Amino acid sequence: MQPTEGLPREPGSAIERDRRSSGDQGGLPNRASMLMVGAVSRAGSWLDVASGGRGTPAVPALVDIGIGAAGFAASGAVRVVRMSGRVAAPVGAVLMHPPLLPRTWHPATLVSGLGDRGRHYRQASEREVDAVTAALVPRVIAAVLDRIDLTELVLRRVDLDRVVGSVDVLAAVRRLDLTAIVLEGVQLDSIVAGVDIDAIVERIDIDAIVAGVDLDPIIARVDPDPIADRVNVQAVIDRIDLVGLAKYVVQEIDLPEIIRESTGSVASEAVRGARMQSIEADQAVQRAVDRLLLRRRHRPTEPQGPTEPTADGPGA
Amino acid sequence: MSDLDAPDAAAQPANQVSTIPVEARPYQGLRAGIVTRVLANLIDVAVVTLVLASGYVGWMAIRFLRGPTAFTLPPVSPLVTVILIGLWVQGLYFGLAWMTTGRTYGDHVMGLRVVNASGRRLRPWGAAARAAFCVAFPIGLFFVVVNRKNRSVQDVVLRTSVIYDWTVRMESKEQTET
Repeated sequence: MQPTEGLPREPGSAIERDRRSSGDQGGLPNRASMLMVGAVSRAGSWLDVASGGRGTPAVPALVDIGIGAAGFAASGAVRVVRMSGRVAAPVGAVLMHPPLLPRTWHPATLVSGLGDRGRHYRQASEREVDAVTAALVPRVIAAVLDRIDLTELVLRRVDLDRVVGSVDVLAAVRRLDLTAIVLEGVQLDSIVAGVDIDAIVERIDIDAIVAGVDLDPIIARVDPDPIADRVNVQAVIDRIDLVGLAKYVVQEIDLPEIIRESTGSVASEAVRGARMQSIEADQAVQRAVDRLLLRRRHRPTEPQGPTEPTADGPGA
Repeated sequence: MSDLDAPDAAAQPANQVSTIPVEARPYQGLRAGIVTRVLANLIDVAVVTLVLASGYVGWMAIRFLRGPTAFTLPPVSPLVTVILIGLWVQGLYFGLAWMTTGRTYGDHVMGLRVVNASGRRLRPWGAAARAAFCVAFPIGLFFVVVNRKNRSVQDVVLRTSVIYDWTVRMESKEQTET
């Protein structure tokens, strides 16, 4: 049952049409009677449904005639009362405010006090009804929900596809903190433990990935200075045999030869050539003499005694 | 880099680099043959001759300065005297050279050095004895030709050796040794 304050007031509504057809332009008594008749009619429909019917019981014509007659009589009574009120209004005004009497003794004052008392009583009653309703409605709803299968009702009565189609899922997802949901609700360790990473890595063509990477801009963005600052160069140097390395380089490039070629004189070159030729001559003479003397063993020409360490060759 | 396969790296102290040409390094420390030693001696003879000539010229200059008007070119002493003086100068020259640097000028030019049985520089008495022996019996040098160890008679008697040594200073070797 809808409250009277919520009744439709549009000119084309059913209540408005009934009001016009009944010759009434409004008024609480007429509306109350309409609500009463409608409630009785709906109660009959509900009883029909409860008894297994379709909710459209056959209403005898006599009932409609009775309702029409009662409505006509009620509207006529209302008109009579209104006309009587308009006629008796001047008399009533004199009666309510008789002359020569103090205002405190006027009947209107008494009636006004009764009105105030009745209004206060009505407001208190409304508050009491609101409190009872607030306490009763949840219980009634709970009892109703206990008696019905809401899920089945929704499935039968609700077009879920249309509802879901009207939902902006992306907007809802954007409002969610998916990272926090995953971190709190997902056992990542157990999931990762079950993953065969080796198999995944074997399927990856790392060479192709690297070949597709343009390293130049990446390297251009790298600042080598901080990296170099973190490198312990002294530790690296300590692990290197610098003396051996320098000696190896000098000997491999024959630095003495370079120095001699750049600074040596013709005389030193001549002396060097003379020395080498004399050594070769010594070897030739030794071989010839040994051949003449039928010596088969190589002539040992190393001096006896401890070998003297020299700066430029084997010891003496 | 500790396993560097550098040329004769094992023969070199770790903190020194050889200044000897690569082709001559294998011969360093070996006893010299007859050709090199003869050439060195010829240079030394030339040096001694130059010293004697210089001495003669100097002596003439002094005589000229003392009496220019009465100066006449003195006759050259008998050949025996000249030879004796030359031998004496050569012995002194050999002894001082072997005692101090271990090499004469001829040895220096030919890259030779005289060492004792220990491979070190000769002691004064050893240097003097070898110088006297070489001056008195120069033909003993040619024993190098037939000796298996390239040693002359002087080397055999005095237990010395003449080796190829192209290093400049003997002192550096001794410092290295210590």
